[in-house]
Amino acid sequence: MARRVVVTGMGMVTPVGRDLESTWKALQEGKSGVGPISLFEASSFPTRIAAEVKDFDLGSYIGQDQVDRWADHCRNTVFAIAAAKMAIDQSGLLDDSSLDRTRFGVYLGSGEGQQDFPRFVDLVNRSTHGAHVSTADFTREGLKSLHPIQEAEQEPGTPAGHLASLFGAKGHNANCLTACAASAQAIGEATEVIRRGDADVILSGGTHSMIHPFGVTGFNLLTALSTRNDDPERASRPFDRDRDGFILGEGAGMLILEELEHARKRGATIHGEVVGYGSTADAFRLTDTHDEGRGAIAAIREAMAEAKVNPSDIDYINAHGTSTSVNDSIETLAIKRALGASAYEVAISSTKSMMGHLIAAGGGVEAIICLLAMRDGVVPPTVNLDNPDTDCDLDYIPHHARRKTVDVTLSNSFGFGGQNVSLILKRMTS
Amino acid sequence: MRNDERRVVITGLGLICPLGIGLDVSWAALAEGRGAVRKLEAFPVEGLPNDLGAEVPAFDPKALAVPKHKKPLAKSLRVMARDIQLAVSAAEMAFADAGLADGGYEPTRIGVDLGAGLISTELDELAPAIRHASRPDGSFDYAIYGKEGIPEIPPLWLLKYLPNMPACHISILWDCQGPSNSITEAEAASLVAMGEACRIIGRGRADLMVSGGADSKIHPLSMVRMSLLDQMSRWTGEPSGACRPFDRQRGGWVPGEGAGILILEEREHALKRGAKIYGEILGFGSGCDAKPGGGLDEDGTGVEVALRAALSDAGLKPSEVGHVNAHGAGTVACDSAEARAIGRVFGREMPITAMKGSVGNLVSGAGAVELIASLLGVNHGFIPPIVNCDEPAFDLDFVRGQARPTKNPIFISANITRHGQAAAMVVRGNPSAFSDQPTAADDREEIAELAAKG
Repeated sequence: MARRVVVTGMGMVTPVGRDLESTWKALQEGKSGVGPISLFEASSFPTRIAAEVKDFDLGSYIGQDQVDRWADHCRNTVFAIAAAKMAIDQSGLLDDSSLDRTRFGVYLGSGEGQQDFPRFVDLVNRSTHGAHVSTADFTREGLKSLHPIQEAEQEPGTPAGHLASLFGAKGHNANCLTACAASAQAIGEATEVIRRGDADVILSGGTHSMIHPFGVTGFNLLTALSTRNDDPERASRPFDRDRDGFILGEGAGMLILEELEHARKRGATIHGEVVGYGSTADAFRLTDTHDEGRGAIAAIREAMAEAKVNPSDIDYINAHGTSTSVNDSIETLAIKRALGASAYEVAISSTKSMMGHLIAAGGGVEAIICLLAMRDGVVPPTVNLDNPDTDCDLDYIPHHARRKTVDVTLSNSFGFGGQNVSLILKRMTS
Repeated sequence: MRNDERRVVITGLGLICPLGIGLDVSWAALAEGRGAVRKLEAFPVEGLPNDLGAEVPAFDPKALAVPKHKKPLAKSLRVMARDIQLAVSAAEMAFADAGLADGGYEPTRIGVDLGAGLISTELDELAPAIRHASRPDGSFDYAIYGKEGIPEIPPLWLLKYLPNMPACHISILWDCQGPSNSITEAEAASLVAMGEACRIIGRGRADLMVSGGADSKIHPLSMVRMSLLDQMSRWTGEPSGACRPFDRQRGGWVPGEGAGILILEEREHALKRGAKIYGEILGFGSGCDAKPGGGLDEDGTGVEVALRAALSDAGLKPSEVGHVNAHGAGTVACDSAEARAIGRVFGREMPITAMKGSVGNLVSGAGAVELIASLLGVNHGFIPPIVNCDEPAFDLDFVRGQARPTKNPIFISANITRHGQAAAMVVRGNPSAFSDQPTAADDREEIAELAAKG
């Protein structure tokens, strides 16, 4: 009998809420988390706005007496800890002392930690002679001025190690980084690990913040970000004809994935089942999505085939919907090709219109939103969709959330470099 | 691997390591117990515990490209950090070695799953922008940087350093439209990626996977980082002695660089096309120390979980394995933990080797390069030796000095991160891969059966 994988815990920290319910409430109300960048002095950057997590206090999640260990750790790590703690608590997993820790793993899609910008630019400046950096100066002075923890934290596999340590997960441990597809991919591969029998429970999801000077620099140079600086709350406008790029968000979304019988035996609340996972590559160009959405179509089809669902079964799609010109057009095309006539019936929204793009963490948060839509029978809106683009002619739930019974959901996450991931989550049925 | 899964064999290898570029040159050095740790040549360093490294000599990605890729690569090399170039070049070698240089596969049935790491930015690319925005008193003017600094940085700067880019470039060059993943888990990355690639083939989602990993820690920022973490060797003797896995005088590691890319293939797919088979992947496992408070567990809990899981997956008793290719970081704590775990799982009689004394620490590429070293070894009938394990610190059977003859082609390879994340893989080599008759006898029978079935 095939092993089934269900979700028994969820936690998230996002620009619109510091936990699961506050985020979900804000999304249903169409609230935007986008505003002027406060994390660094961005007043002359091409993009000066982002969706930041505000007033974050790690102690409120894990206890004020526990925060010292995490001083100097990067935002990825502290967001991950907060979201994971909420997911673990909700699942009740650690209340059960009989849990086999070697069958409890971690599989995250976490991004790189933030470069310690002030120390780094100071070091580079002091080591530069003419147009070149003296590596002798850089290494000698770097050893004195760079911070050990802040440097170590940039390694993307670090949060997976921290969470394993915090929650005693001695089983399968992995981190993947496929740009914006990472945490959706982590959920998909973690599901396969449990299905195969290599673990019974996996803490999965992702965490990321690229709201730092080099993050904004990199995306600005690629002209990927919106520059609607004077109207932050309207800057992320997926599928709208006036969209001009994405908005950086930050945060973490964590899920407890558990083998069905394992969850049933301990009487866990089941929030939904992971039934389909598709992973493909565009194999097209470095900087461009395949112009006919080849890889995206294949990922959606693969997820549907694995889930054994028909296009007409899908009630809600949480789109990748970045608000870039190319993504939203190609994704729309891919949904039409993969779902056929049903594409015009399904409710689709991009929650990036409110939270911005959480990059590696996006897929994890968006999978949770699919589960909450199922739980409450509400699909969140795409805000700012005032004038749908001519080739964006599907039902994107503009402006306002909608009541709707949701049993089957599809979540798309497409990464820079052409990795495409689609996940199908379904209401639990016996 | 489970009985209901498709079997996975290795049909192509691309190896670029500090010992040399290619299988023969690398094996010749490994067999003799030669090391590649030298005084760093790439750039001068000062103030670090050491100025040593294991560098890849005379690396020219254009020369390693297959003919049809020489032109596209000439264009795209400038947007590839050295780590990415190493991966892409090793993949060129692996495809050619597998007999797949001219295609002959279905693009949607081939994927990529690589170990990759944090790629350090080239400092000279940022220096003009940073310099421009720095005031005479040394403080940084964000307003100037935002307006006048950013435009001085190359437009595709970000893409040159993203860890998923090795997989991205390889998928574009070789039209790999199947599953694509990049595992970023420091020293455990390559083995986790290869394990996952096996599962993908095993469950039928792909027939071919490009796997392995690449990394270059020969970078001033990477070297500062490892010094800050107090991982770098403080050896003051001959450079070649600086990294000493399991030796009494071990005191840290030496940065290395390189790439090991493997073409993993579903066994019948390989047999049908008459591919050369280097070996079969029998099992994979992963675990973690999960030590309260973080860091490495001194008892090696995580690596024990990984070793046992891989053995169980392979359906093998510890005694059926011919040797262990250990992580052997060369640090006091990590080697102690690992030696305890290996002792518990395999007892004292199991031959143990480790590669870092010879090639340094390739971090995200380590697992693949080290596994290939053992694979070449058993296929030649030898276990490659540990370099610099002159006085073993543990009462275990370390293979030292010279390669040791072996008739057992089964080995297990393991890696561990600083956080105790561990992975292990069991492989059975195919010694006939290097003979005049490269197909094993039982494979020949099966090929005949497959041919009869059509």
